[in-house]
Amino acid sequence: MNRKIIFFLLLLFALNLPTFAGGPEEGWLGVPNLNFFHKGKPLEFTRNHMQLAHLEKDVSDILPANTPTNIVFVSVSFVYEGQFKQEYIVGGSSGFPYAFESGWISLVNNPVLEEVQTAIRPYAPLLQRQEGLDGGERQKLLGICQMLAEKERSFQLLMKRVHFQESHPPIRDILAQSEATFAGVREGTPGYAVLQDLRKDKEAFERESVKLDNTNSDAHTALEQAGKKMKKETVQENLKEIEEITKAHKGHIARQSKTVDNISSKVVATYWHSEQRFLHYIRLQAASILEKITQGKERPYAVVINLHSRFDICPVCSHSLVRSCAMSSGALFEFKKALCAKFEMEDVPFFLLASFREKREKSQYTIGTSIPQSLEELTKFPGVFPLMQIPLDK
Amino acid sequence: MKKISFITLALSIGLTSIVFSAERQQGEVAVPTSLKELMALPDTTTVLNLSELNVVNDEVAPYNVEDISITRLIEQAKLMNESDRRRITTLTIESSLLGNSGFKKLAEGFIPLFPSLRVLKLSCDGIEEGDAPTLYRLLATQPSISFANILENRLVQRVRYDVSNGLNIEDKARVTEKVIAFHKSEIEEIASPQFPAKWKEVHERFYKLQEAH
Repeated sequence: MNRKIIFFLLLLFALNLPTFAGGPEEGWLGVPNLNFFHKGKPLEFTRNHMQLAHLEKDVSDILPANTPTNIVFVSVSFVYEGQFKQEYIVGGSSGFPYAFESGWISLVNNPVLEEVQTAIRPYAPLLQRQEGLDGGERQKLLGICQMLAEKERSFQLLMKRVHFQESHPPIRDILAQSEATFAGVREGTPGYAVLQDLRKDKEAFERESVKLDNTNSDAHTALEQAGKKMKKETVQENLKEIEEITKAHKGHIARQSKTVDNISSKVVATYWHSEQRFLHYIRLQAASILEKITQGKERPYAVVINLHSRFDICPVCSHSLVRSCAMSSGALFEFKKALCAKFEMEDVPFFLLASFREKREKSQYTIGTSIPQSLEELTKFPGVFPLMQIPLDK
Repeated sequence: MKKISFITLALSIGLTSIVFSAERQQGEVAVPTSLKELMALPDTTTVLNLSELNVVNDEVAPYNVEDISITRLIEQAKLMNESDRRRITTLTIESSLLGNSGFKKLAEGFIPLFPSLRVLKLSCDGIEEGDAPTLYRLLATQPSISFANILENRLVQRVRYDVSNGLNIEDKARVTEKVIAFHKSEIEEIASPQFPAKWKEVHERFYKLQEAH
């Protein structure tokens, strides 16, 4: 009897488990899909995320295989009485969607050209042979060329369809923005570890930047002093001394600059991912985005931000997004406030739905045990955002 | 009973293999290399020039992963044979990112490993004015040092100031007998009454030695 009940309960529990488990930090809840009921009618947001996922996959597929660059696309939807409408995929003035990318490299250079170099290199010595390529080799090279030509064609087409956010603000601004995002996180709460690391990096950046300035000014002073001591009778000796001073300072400045560069790279790689680039963009462009999505529109019942990412969410982005909605200074909070002002509303239910396609190897997830079924239910989970995996075929 | 013994045996074998594999893995991660092996120094070497090694202070080390932290340098120096260490008479670390903390660790943890050290060249290592007490302590505890070249560091200003403005007698004596704080073109400045005459002689001797080499 008892066994039967336990088995039944276990089965019930297993059937209710989401296909994907909860996020790495508080604030995210793994869900099997992003479809919710509103006023008894289904709002199939999964379809939206599938569309964004296809856009993202098109971009990710042409990146070099060993580049772990994340790609994010975002759209804004309005929910009306039992239905919703995707109003806008976040993009530039030309109407093309923006791919928010995570790295320095992405598509600044044409990745296909790099691939061509790697693929063709082994054939260079073979082509110089007197007898040329044999039948098999020729066939193989032809295949490679056709494949690369096809990739280049897709790349050129893609470049016409999506735009890339390439620039990032100065390192000091990135650090200040990140610190503002994590402001008030207390010991023992999620995000504290990120804040601790952030403070260390900020301190290191400030300290080493000051040292670099000092190093440069010391070199200037030392050379100036040495120059003043030049005498006709000791010119040779003086020049030798200046040469030695220059060599010593040059070496030191190069090492100090490298250190500042290394810290800057770490800051960008750790705190300036696709998600932060999107938040930065929405803060800067809020007015023009609102203009596009509100003109001639009725007041919505709710507003939904749909965010699709190539990789699953990391702890830094997890907190950045959650806090951007929760904090009054957050980019998404301010966006919601401005949207309410446009529609002359006091407040509006505001949701952030997220999806991703590829799971990072190191990710560890906890299991979510209950999932919201309706938008109304979702409001009972303050600060909890649903996250689903969209495993598109490779 | 037999069953329990078998389980105990299996568990102990399992645990032993885990311990051994962990030790093996640890060994693979941190391969102990002595400074002598790292720099491929010949057995007869007396000069240790670490300027090309990119020695950095511990605060910078996590960002400059390809460089060598001062703490790791000390560990590697400890792995050298005592006789090899005893042979070293000249240490050069120039244009490196030692800074305050790096210089302190070098003075307290690295230099004492080389008891025969006579010439110390620390030009342009980002050593600050506040590091003067560390230098004075080093000169007191390492009597083998004959010359300590600290040029192109902010420390130089402080040492010059201390010598002319009341450093205690012992420290002042050691500094003016051993520390190189003036360029060759500045030697005439040491002739000023605020500095002891012997400091100038030390500089002259040092630069003569430099030229000879």
